[in-house]
Amino acid sequence: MKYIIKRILQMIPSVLLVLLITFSLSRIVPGDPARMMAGEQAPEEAVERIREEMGLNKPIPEQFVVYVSEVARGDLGTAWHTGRPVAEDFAMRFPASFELALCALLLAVLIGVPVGIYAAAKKDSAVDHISRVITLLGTSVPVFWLGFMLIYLLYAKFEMIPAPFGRISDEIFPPTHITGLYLLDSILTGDIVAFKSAISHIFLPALCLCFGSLAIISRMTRSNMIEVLNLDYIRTARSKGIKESKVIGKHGFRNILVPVLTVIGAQLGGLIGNAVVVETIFNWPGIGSYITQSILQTDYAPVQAFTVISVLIYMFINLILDILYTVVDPRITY
Amino acid sequence: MKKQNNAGFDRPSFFQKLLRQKMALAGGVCILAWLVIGVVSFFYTPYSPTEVAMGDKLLAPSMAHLMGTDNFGRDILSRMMCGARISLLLGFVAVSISLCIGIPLGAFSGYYQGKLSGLIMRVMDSLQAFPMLILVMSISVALGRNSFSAMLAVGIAGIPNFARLMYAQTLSVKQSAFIEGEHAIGLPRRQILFRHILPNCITPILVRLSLSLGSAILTISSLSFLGIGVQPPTPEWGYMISEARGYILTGEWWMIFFPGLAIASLVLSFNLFGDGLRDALDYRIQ
Repeated sequence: MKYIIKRILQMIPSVLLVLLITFSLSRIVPGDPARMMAGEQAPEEAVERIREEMGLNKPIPEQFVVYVSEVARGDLGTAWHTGRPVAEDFAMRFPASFELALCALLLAVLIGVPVGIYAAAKKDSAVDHISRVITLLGTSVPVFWLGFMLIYLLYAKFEMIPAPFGRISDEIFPPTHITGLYLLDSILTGDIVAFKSAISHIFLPALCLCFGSLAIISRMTRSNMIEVLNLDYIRTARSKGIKESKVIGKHGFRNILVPVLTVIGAQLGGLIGNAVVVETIFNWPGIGSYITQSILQTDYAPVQAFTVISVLIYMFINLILDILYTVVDPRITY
Repeated sequence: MKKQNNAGFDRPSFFQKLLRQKMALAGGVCILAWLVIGVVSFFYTPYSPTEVAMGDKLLAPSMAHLMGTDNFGRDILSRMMCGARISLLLGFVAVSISLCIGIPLGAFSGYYQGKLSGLIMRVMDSLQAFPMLILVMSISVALGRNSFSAMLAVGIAGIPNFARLMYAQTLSVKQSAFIEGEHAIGLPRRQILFRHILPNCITPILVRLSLSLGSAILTISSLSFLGIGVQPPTPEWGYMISEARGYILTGEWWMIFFPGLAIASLVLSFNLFGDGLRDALDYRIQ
């Protein structure tokens, strides 16, 4: 507990530095934000008044202090292209993004880890070679290309999936709002029709999103497992006549958990970045597609807010992972 | 024969090592081929890459247009050839930016350890706390949506990679006896750093360079896809895919297929080449 508090306190300077970076970036955005808020034809006095309201004529250090306190209060500015506070837009779109990212992460872990273990246990088998090829592709193939090709094959050509628009088919009512996650809500309310539709919509985007992480997770699992399987205690376990599946599944697995958790944590950054691209391809009504819209409208506030939020999420998850280490490996104490 | 394993690394058999070098070779050849195509595109393309010919729009691949035409009737093959030089150029410049800033920063911080170096590494750490694509996005949007700012953004975002690598290298080389000896004979510190420490760090930097080029090219094309990077009518691969997105539902697959293949092959080549280089030089970096 003491450690957790210490870690959170340690995060404060890093967060301030991050905010300083995003703040400096927002100052070099071309164009006058006050002019953009007021509109092209607005008279100079109106622009001046908005500039005053936005605090743009205060000294820069003071502006930074104001910015930090605003972020701390959850005020992320206003998106002028929707006319709503960014925080509100984010909150509305968050469940969609969260559901997609969660599904992608689950897929990546649930496929990547077993494949990695199997590839390690059966080195140079077919699975091992396939996973090697997938790793190479996963780090080289652009996710937007993969997405479009899958849409072409599965939707345009063979019509195996519904049209890549949104989270659920138009003619089906979304499930009653409980958590905002359609899959979970439809299970909770027992709405089978909605569940089927939701899962057929989320499958392809989640698959595309997980591809890169899946590749790296399976590869790192494999190399860590191979390393562990060469240790003395594994030989001891084998010589005692314990079944190979148990040697790998119990004795080996326990000891690769820490490095595998680290890899998963490291993959989250890429996942958040790629989510923007994937949501744009599949017209997913989440934060990513909202960010793309903002970029095309030259609306910087949402982009800046998203940058801050994603760093915070990333840091927070790494904190949780650090705490998890002590759970999976009792030898680690802080 | 049971393969022998050294702590922590599964050592490939001789055959595997050979095979992997072959893959690196294939990667190298592919990179060269794209370079040649890029250079050739200055002098020759089958059709004009930017000239609009509405009469020929959305033609499927045929003998006249090997890769088909896009929604403005432009030849995809010609546009791809020009795309090669754009991607390579932007990628090289971006990585050069990270290299030229990252290496001195890392070397400085590793060699002269003090308050300033601590601050530099702290800033590098917080830059690395950003998800890569998000950081690049927010820098290049802030700088304005064009290919120059995309390139600059990828360059800036790549600085911590080189700085941290160089920092770690400098720290470890600094410990070696010959550096200690040079300190003892009173060689100027700057000379030790540039003439003796830097050359000893070249190997991992080369490996990282190749891998960075691959990811820089991938990132720049992702930016162009999102509409941040290269602007029309420049034939950039990522942008070509973004332009064609409306046509995938109606089955015009060639507009997306070929540019994507180009990105994937180039990035894959750089990755293979980097991996091969690492194996060949037998240098292990994370």
